[in-house]
Amino acid sequence: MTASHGPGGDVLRDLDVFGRKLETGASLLARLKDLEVGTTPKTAVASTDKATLYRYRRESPPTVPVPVLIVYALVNRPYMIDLEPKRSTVRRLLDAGLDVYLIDWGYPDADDRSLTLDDYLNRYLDGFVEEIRSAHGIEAPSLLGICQGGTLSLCYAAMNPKKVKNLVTMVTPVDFHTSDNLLSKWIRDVDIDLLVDTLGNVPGEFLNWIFVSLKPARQIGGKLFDILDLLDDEERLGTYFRMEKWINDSPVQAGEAFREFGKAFFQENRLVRGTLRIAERGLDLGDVTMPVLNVYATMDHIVPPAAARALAGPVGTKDYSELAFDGGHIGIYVSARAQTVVAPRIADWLRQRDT
Amino acid sequence: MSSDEPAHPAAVGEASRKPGTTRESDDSEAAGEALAAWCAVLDEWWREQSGGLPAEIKRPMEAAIGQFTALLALAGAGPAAATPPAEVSSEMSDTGADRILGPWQPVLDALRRCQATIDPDPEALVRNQEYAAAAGAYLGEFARLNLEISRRLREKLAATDSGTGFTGLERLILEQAEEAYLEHVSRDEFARRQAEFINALLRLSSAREPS
Repeated sequence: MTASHGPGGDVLRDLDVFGRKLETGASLLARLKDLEVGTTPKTAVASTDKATLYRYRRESPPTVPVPVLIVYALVNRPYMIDLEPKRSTVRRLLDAGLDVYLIDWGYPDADDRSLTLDDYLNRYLDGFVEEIRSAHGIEAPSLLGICQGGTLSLCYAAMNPKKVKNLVTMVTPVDFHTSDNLLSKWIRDVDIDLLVDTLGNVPGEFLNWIFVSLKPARQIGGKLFDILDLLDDEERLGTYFRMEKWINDSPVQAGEAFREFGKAFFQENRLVRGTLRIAERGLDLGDVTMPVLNVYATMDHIVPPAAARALAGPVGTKDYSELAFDGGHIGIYVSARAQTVVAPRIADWLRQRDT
Repeated sequence: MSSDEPAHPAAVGEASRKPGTTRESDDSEAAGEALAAWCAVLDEWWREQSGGLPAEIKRPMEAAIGQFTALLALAGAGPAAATPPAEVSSEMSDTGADRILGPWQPVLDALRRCQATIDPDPEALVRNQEYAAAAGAYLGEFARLNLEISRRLREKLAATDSGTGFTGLERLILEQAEEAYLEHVSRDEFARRQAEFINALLRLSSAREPS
């Protein structure tokens, strides 16, 4: 390499363009007030402790009468699936004719340190399923579990197969020990008992550090030119700041629930091994006998495809389908392409089983 | 120093210089100069542009530029990109970590926020040998990664069209950085050292006397 590989004419042109974008971005930003997220209208219909059950408002009657309950992960906030009107899995599900509910787990605090997976599954989730059954006069709603929420939904469905009509899992880890699961490899030697015994609840900052560390390179030069590229596009600028809000909005994790999940799932891989116990009760994926649609992202660096597709083996249902989305763990919800592919396919699948 | 620690940068430089041949050192120097020029252009441009920008744009731009120029500097620094872990273990809380983790600013920022919530005794961070060893080993992993990225970037840049603009340079840097990063952090050794660092930090926090 020689000195001639230093900045040349293209650089000056690039910088000129960047400078104009900065000016435009500054003035656009002034118009971007109160970047709201999760704006699809919804009504709180029940709550227990800090968990709230919401029902999204529809403008017309649903065309798929059996309602679907979205069970999001505990580790992030659920408004990722309703980031903004044009990037909203929730809106696309509503557009496709579904009656949609969501559990918002809230922000745990010191009072929640002793909450266990038994609480999350058999008090909160089960309580809200009962609420929906009663409100609609039905045997069972469908569940749509997202990431860790999908893992929890599988556990719930295995324990309560008669209370789940259909089950959709999205980017859901089932086998936590596949060779390409970096997150799982990193957690394997962490002393989770020490973590919870020392800190009580697990700070969101700890999880944020781990998640950021999974793929930081894209946040380096990629971020610089991502920012520069979108500075003169008001819509994209808004999306950028909403994503930043979500990335930095990591709730505290209830200590005992984190201990259970971290050890039993990440470290001991008990779910796929068939040795998981929750509240002293054994749990078998073979008891998941309702129709299952397993949606995974082919470029998911958090839940690799193999970790999700491992469900095919142990699940008990005779009606098991997969849907592969060409994208990443977050893109499956917020990308423009996902809006036209994922939610409509889920709705169609549910409609075909709404008997 | 264990056998898998990087050799001292000066020793690497000396060992690689063949008697009677200065081309490698000339290339290294030229690479450093060229990349320093990129950094200087970007820094000057940012100084001119940043005054009066709203904080919401200024903050992420400054962080992103800092990271980008740290990676550029990495490419230009050659073997000097790596600092032996023994030199950084006691500096985890300041310039040592900044130097090694500069190109990985999101990780460093997130780590600092995490450390603040874990709240270990600041004096113990310096005194505790177990923590010092674990922190040094963790940073040593990034030092080795930086060395590898430096090598890959210099090779790629040598083969790059001299008229490449910033976006071309960015693409090239990201490709090399992402690939090298993923290979490196997927190693069992990295996972073990990162976990040991976390566990050592927690033990310090656990031992802290309540105030």
